[in-house]
Order: sequence, then C-alpha cells, then structure tokens
Amino acid sequence: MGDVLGEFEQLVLLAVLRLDDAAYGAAIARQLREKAGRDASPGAIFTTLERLEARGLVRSRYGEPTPERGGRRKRYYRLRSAGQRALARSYTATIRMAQGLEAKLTKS
Amino acid sequence: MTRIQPPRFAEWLLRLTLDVAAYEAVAGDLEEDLQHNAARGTLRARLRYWRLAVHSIAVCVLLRPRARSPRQGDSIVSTLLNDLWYALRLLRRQPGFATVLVLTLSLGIGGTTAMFALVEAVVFRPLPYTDEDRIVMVWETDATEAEKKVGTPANFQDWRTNTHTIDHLSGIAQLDATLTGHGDPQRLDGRRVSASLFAALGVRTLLGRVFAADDERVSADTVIVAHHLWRQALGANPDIVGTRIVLNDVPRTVVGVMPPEFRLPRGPDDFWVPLVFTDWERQARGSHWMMAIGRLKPGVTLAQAQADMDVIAVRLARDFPRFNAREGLLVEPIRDEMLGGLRRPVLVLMGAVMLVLAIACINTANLLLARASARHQEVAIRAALGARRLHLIRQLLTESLVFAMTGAVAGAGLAWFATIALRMMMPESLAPLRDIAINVRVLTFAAVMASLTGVLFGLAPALHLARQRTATAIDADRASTSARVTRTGRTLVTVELALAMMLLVGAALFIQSLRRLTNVDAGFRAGSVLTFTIELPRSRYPDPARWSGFLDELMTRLEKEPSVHAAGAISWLPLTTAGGSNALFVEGLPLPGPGEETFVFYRLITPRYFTAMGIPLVAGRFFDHRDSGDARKVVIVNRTMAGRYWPGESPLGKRVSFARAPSPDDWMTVVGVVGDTKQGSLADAVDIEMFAPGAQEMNWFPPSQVVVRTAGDPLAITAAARRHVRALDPLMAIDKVQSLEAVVATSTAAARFRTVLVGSFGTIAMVLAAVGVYGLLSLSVALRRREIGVRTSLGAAPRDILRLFLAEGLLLAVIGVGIGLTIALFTARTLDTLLFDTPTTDPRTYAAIAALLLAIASCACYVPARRAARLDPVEAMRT
Repeated sequence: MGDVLGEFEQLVLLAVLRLDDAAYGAAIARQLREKAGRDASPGAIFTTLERLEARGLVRSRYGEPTPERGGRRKRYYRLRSAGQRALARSYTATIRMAQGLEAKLTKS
Repeated sequence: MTRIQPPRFAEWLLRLTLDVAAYEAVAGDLEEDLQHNAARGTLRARLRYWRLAVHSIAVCVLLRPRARSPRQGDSIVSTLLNDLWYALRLLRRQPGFATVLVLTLSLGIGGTTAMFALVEAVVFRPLPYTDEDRIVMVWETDATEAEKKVGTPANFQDWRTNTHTIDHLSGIAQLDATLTGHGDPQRLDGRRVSASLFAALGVRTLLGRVFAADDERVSADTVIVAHHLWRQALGANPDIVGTRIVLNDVPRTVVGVMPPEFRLPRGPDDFWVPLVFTDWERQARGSHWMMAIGRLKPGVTLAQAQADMDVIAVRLARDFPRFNAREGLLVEPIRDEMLGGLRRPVLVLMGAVMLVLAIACINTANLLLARASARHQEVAIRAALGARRLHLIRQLLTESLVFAMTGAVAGAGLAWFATIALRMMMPESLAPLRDIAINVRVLTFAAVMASLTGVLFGLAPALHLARQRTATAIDADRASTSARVTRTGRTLVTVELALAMMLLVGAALFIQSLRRLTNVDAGFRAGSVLTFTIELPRSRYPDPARWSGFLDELMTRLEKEPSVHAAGAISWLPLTTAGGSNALFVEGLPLPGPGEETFVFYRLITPRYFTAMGIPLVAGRFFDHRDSGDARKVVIVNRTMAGRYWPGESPLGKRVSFARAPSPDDWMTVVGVVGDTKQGSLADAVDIEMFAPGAQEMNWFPPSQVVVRTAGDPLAITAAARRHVRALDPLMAIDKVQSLEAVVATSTAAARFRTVLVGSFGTIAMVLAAVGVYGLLSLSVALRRREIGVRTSLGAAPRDILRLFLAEGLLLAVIGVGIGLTIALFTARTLDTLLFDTPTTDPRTYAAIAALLLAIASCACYVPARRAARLDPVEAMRT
C-alpha cells in the first residue's frame, strides 16, 4: 500500500516537480495561481509541504535570505523518490479513471 | 520597483502565533507576494496580505498535527497553541477517560458556581438604592433580649426631631388593602411611608413623581404603585399617573410608578401611600409597628449615629419609663437587615460545596496521575530526546487546564440548570435570592475556579512526571515509580474520604434535624383543612359587631356545604406569625414593676375555630353565641398558660386583663383551656397564649384567616368558598388559598431547602469518593500485575489476592473515615444554629455515616480486587 494523495497535495507536488530547483513557497503559490487557478495562502502551502515532508515524500533545504522577502530565507523543496512514486500513481489513477470520458469532462 | 511596507500588525500576529520555521516561510512568502502585487495599488496589496495572513494563521494553528518541543525564538503564544492542540488530541484519543474527568470536574465547578450565584446575590450584589452604605435602619432593642424590633410611632417622632446624625429619617408601616374596580377584587400588600423615604434611599420613580412633603396630610389621597402591579392589574397603562384607583373603598390618585427592581426591607409591596399619623398613633409608645430608615449625614459614621441614638434612647427611657425603661436603640446598615440573616446559611452551603470541589480536584489529580504513570515512558523518551523539563510541565499543565476549562463549560451549564432548580424550590424566607442568576461575575468566578483547580490538580502529576529520572523511566523498572504514584494517590484518596465523611455528617445532621422538625406536634390536625385569607377593610367593617356579623354568616354558609365538618377563623394562623402580644395582668398576682410585665400572645377567633383545626378542649368550654359584644368578656387560654398561672387548680373563672389598673370592663374571664399549638414556628417552644371571641373587641386584627375542615381534598371546596364570600360581599378579596398542610410545609421550607442542598452535596461527595477509591485500586492492580502473577504461581489462591487488595483499599477507607470523623466532631458545632433539637456530637450519627462510607468504599474496592484475583498468572507476568 502506498501513500494516498489529496487533491491539493497532488497540485503542490506537481508544482514542486515543475519548478525543479526553484521550488519554494511563493513560487509554488504562483504556479498554483497561474496553472490551476488556485489562490492558496502561504500557510496552507507550508502546512501541506510540512506534512508531505513528515511522510517522506519531499525534502527541504534553506536558501539564502533575499531582500524581497524582508531578509528571510527561502525554503526549497524537492521530491524524494517516494514522492515521485506517489505522484505517478495518483496521476495514472486519474488518467485511467478518466479514459473515454474526455468529451464529457471538457464540455462542462 | 517601489517597496511596500507589510502591515505591521499582521506581521506581529504571525510572529505571535506561528513557530519560527513556519513564520519564516509564511512571512517571507507573504512579503514576496506583496511586492509582486505592488503595481496593483498599495491598498489592494496590503488587503491581500491581510487575507492570506489570517488564512495562514488559521491553517497553521488548527491543522498542523504535531506536538513539537519549542525551539529558540518561538513566541509563547505559538507554544501554548501547540500545547493546546496536543492536549485536545489526547482528549479525543481517550474519550472514556476524558468523560470521567470532565464529568467529575463539571460536578465540582458547576456546584460551586451555582452556590456562588447565591453568595453573589447575598454578599456582592448592590441593593437598588443610591450609596447603600449610607442608608441605615433604626430599631428598638430590648435590654433582656438580643433581638431587634420595630419602633413605635410616638418614639419615632422623637428620634426624627432629636437626631443630629441621620437625615430623612422615615417611617414605614404595613397596610393591607383590597383593590377594586380592576377585575375581581384583589388583596394587595402595601406600606404607609414617610415622604422623605425616597430621598433617604435615593430612588426615583419610573413614571410620575415620588411623594412630596405636601402629600403628608390627613386628607392626602395619593398612591405610588409597584411595577408589577402597574404591569398586571393596571394593564401597563402609560398614562396611569393622574388616574384614580380604589383601595379599601377609597379612591386614590396615582402619582408614580416605581421601577421593577425597587423593593423595601421585608417587601415586596404592591403600593405605597403617604404615612400620616392619626392622633391616636401620635401618642402610641407601646405598639411596635414602624420600621425606620434614614440616611447618614455627610461625614457621619455608623458609630457616631449609634452614639447619637443611644443618647436619645436614654432620654426616652427617662421621660417615658413605662414604655422605654428597657428599650435601647440600634442603628444598622440596611444591607444587614435585608440580607444579613442569609449570610450564614449561604456561607455554610458555600463551604459544603467547596468540599465537593476539593474532592473533584483530588479525583482528577488521581486520574491524571494514573494516566501519567502510563505515559511515563512517552515522557521519558521525550525528555531523553531533549525536551526541556519546563516544557514538559507546561505541556501537562496545558492539558489539565483544557480539562478544567471543558469542565467549567459543562459546569456552567450545570450551574444554569441548578439556579433554575434553586429558584423553583426556594422558600419565601429566601425571597431576595429569587433573582439569582448566572451573570458576568458568576461566570468570572467559574473561570477563575477552573483555572485554579486546573493548576492545582495538574501540578502534582506534572511535577511528578517531570521530576522522574530519565534512566529509570525508560528502563522497565517500574516498581519504584509505581510505588511513588500510588503513594501520592493514596494520600489524595484518604483526604477525599475524609472530606466526604465531613459532608455526609453535615447532611445527616440536617436530615435528622428536618425529620425532628416535621415530626413536631403542632397541636392541630392539618389534614383535609382548607385555609384562605379575607380582607375586612376598616371602611366597611369598622367594629367587631360589623365583622362578626359577616363572619357568622360566612361560617354558617360554609358549614352547610355537605363536605364541610366545621369552619372557623382566626387573626393569624399558627406557624405564620408569632401573633400579637400584650402585657398581661393576672388577678390575684402581685403587679409587676413597669417594664417587667409578662407578655402574652393573643388571637381573635370565631366560635368553631378550634373544632375546625382539631385542637382539643382540655377544660371548660369553647366560645358560642353567648359570647357576644355586649356580654361579659371571656378568654380561652392554652395549656401552657393554665399550668403557669394556675398550677394544680382550675383556671376556669379566673380573671386576667391587659390594663395595669383595670376597670370592671377590662377584666376577661377564663372559660376554657385548649391544647397547645405552636405559634411562630415548629422549632420554638410554645409560649403562653390567649384566645378571645372575635365579637368582643380587643384590637384591630379581626379573624380574617379562615379554616374549613372538610371530608376529603380541601382544595375541592375552593370554588364554593369563593362563591359564598362573593355572595356576602362582592367587593371582598380572597387571598392565599391553600391547604393547612401547605401552611405547615411552608414553615419548614427553609430547613428543607438547606437539607436538600447539603444532602445532594453529600451524595455527590460520596459518589466521587467511591470513584476515587475505585480508580486508585484499579491503578494499583494494573501496576502490580507482575507481583500478582508471581504470588499466584507461588501458590496464592485467588481468595488471598482478593484479600490483599481489599485490605489495601479498606485500610485507606478506615484512615480517611477516621480523620473525617475527627474533624467533623470539632467543626459540626458551627451548624448548631441551623439545626433543630439535634445534638451535633451524637455518636450514633457518626457511627452510621462511618459504616455507610466504609460499605461504599468496600464495594468500590471489590471490583478491582476481584479483577486482580482472576488474573491469569502467565498472562500477568508477561506484561
């Protein structure tokens, strides 16, 4: 049995994957806003990533402080292999479930 | 790109509520986002910052499922929120444990809060006057008796003229009246008051005006009505002022309506009229019926006012020795009169309920301690992983505070129900407490109690846990810790049993006292008797000829009803008031000196009163038609009086008088002796008493309380009684319709109220103590499983194991009960004044209660002890 991902967790992990080296809170938030139309609060993103980290799906490290952040450090996230597997599994599941329903799904 | 400053307050909130890591990430992201959106306008960007910040705090505080050790730089609030969350999660994980804890605490806190609502009403609630601490009452005192009594009108006028220390000294006198013209005639309680009373109290009307000096005329016909009378009988007419209402057949102009909270000492009243002395009253120094209220002059102390009145008392004693030789004067703060008598009983109840709270706390401490020993390893590991001791203690304290606060919320709900119940069963004598309520002050009290108890019962287990050495804890060596846990637990349970013992002794004393009180022979047969009061206004019934005509006719009609055996009437029913009293002079006995007279209770009755009440005739005869207004004056005396003045001889034909130098008309001849009846209350000894026929004038208290002995349910003839009264006088009001049994019950209501309360506290305490014993022994069994296994495998029979644990529990019970018994023995006498004919040191009471508590404790021990005896030895040693 593997990890089951919630929808928001899935979106966050996809953003982390997409951003590659540059995945930190504000950047993930921008991705979510632009690609998924979700305006998530930093707190929600942080809590989600913290939970994913505790489950061993992502790891994090601190970057350098930047003036744009009021002198605070960025916290960068990367997927671990377990995270990649979990993401792949839930993505495949979604694709399979949706097969043959494309017409119906795009209509609405 | 211009930099926008982030909203400072929002940033501060983030720092306060989030831990360091979350704060850095969240605040950084927020600021970045802010600068990003700067182009869209400063205000919009900042609003967006606020929205996201609030959402972030909510998410981080509520949804982060972790108990973390705090790190350097975390704010206190964020740490506490974290602890709180952890505690709530534990509570959800152990629902049974949490339920027992919260129930126990809610009983303690709820009970204390309900009682505090009483204390608040008695001790803290301000009276509805301005500057109440400047308002005083003036009483007369008797040199031989400590009791205060109301003043006389003639003396009152001298006080008012001569005082240098009291302003607006005002008189208050009783006045009952019948209101007609607004539906059925209605009997009202009113008072005659001096116009200056309103200034003395500093009160104003809701509508209209208070009395002015001009209202104090003989021809004055003004009246001020109470709020409830205005709302109910007068239809809340906003234009009431200036209209007329008819009281005792006299039309009076309403000049004002008082606000709803207004109440005079010994109230409540329905209306107030100006107090104007008649010529006769102006001279009266012997009849006591006036209360006096005034306001201390600016700068005057209570002691100075007392000294001032003392001087006046000496002068009055010198000028009018016949009336004032033994009289002193007492100046008393108005609060003492209105609530002073309640202070002691209420504080006793508060003390009792505090004991319950203490027991609840102990139980909670013990339960937490038991759980602490189970969590022992978790804590040790956390300590080993670097959790600081302070943080561990804080975490545990937060947990107990969560329990306490949950208990407080449940307790406040309980208290709310309790105050409703209290209001419903509250006797008339506690009327000022009727408006007890759960208000802000009471809720604050509950919150403070909860915090205090939370800290108190949380501290012991917390310190205990945090103190333990890491090494011994992780190690499986549980023997020493379990010994320590159960030692603390044992002490607590012993204390708890002692407290329960004390409460139960108190409850037993109250119950015994109540039983003796209700078993007292009142001297009459209360079953199947209807009583009601009629009002005989002086305007239509000015003399005995008039009222005895009416009463004779009414009694004749009532006795014609098929179910009625006898009907009579009396000035005051027994057990409602002690009765009128007057100085007694007995023919043939030496005259007592002035001020040394013996006073005798007297009541006016109709001929069949004794028959209706079931009071036995001992000698002579009852009154009959011969004892009319123009016949020779006669009296019937009670057995006590016959025995006191004519021991060993017949009192029949002897003569007594109320006059020191009686004219032939003043003599009253004894024609009968009846059995004693209680006068003021069941608790007081019967005093000497005389009864006179209502047809022969003696005073202004005509027989207006009617008693009707019937064949079955007395209330069944209520309608017939009303019909007969109405037929004889359509303007007459009927009031206080109730069975004689209800009259008797009312007289013991205060005692019953106390007994029910202390009894329930005692029961709760006993249950809680049993829970305590049970919990401790269960813990002990759990901790000693291995020992049990060893003993069993070495040949101990289940019976031996059972005996082992029973002995452990019973030893505690015996010690606790012994301590409680000893303390109760020394403290029970504080209850003395609240008890009737019940010795506070009766060994049988103590023995019975001790036996009861020991039996309960044995049952509580038996269940876990049996569980121990049934343990499978192999299973037991494995754990």
